[in-house]
Amino acid sequence: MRRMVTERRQRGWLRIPCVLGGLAALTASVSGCGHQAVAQSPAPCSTLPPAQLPHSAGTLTQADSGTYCLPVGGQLDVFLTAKSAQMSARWSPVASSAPQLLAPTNGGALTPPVGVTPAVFVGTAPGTVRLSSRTADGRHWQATVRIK
Amino acid sequence: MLLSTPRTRHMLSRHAGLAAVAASLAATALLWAAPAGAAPKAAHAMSPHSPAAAQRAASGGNLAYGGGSVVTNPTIYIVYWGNQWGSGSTVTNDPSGEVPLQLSFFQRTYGSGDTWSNSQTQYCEGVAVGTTQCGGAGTAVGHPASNPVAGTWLDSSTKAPSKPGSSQIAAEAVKAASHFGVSGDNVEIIVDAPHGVVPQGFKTSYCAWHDHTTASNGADLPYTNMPYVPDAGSGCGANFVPTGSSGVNGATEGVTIVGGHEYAETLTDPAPSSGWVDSSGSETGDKCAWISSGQGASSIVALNGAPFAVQSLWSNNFNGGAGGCVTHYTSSGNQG
Repeated sequence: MRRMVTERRQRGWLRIPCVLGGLAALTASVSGCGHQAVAQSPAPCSTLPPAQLPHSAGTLTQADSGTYCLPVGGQLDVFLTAKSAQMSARWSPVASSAPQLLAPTNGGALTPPVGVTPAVFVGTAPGTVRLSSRTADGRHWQATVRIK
Repeated sequence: MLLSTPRTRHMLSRHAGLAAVAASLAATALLWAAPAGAAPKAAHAMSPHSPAAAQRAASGGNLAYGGGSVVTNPTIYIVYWGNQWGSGSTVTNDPSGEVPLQLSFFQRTYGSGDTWSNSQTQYCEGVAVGTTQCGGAGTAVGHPASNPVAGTWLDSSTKAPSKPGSSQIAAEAVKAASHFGVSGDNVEIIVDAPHGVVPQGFKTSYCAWHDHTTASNGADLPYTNMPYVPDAGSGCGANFVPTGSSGVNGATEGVTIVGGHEYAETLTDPAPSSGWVDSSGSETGDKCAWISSGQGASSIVALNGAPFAVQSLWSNNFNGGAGGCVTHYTSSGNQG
């Protein structure tokens, strides 16, 4: 059932600078300093892979790297599994490029397996957000979430 | 559908508030010309053992009260779901011995002989939202004076699905609550899946989880999805803690490590996430999961004279109020 989408180059991202003063400061205060929150030319989004937790709209793993749709108010779970038992293979906490749109929420209801980095987010407002994580041994994961 | 549930409405309200707070914090940071690193933290805090875990725990800060219920009088009910466990009322298919271990563990989480779960009694309900130190105010999380396990039941009337989803697990919890004739936030229904049954996401995404649903009488009903944890091996705690001469079986350590994690979180956040969570959404057990060395490392503790492997739990009043992971607690001044 998982619908893999063709990787598309993420175009049109508007990087909001972290600056002081006037309108720029107001904009940055809403978006978060350095966060990417706006896509000028949204790409199509795919249905999320099936959920594994209660109340969830879907689940992403390190194998999912496309652009996925999430309704406002929907919960999204992410589980990134280390490739090996080495500490360097562990994924860092999953970061939302725009937590004011896709906010981290309580994933604490579960006990993760050893070596799994979990994260749970809820879509709070329409927009396009990038989720990302890294490992110390140089791997990088990212996926895009379209909240609508 | 999501928008129609009380929990989702709560989440939306909560996160609308969080977003407002985050925006306010960002604005404040800008006004004070703070560096970019001062921006609101976006990452989730819950993780397996790693150096990064400690960093995330610290950055997530102490647990704060969300305005909901805590468990003031813990009462545990266990349902062994499905005739794969055995026929009639007797469990016969339990190759790793999970049932007696789990039962013995929870039957001993009471009184002065349990200094492990006692740390959670510092949390409370009925105080201002955002409170981090109850200081005797409100109504505290309860610590049983005697065995808190009030009932067990082998539901052999049905066969548990081979890969049950969350709605099926919730339905079994409701069925068990009706069998026991109980409901409400002081009840924890533990749904034990039998050996060989793999609830969706078990082993790959989680070892267990807790949630709440609505009992047949309309009352709230906290419950736990407890898969057959030994089936997951080391991924869910087998041999995580050196046993030495304790007598603990390393192969089944996960039963009590994971079970204890969910129990403590049910005590402090029976209706996630309206109870006690940190700024990144982690509950008491998440902040201390899979620590293998140093302060808060998982260890063998004695509960009323019997040894069990447990993980530490988050204590807001540890370390001068800075918080930390502890495995024993007799008072705010005697813990570690």
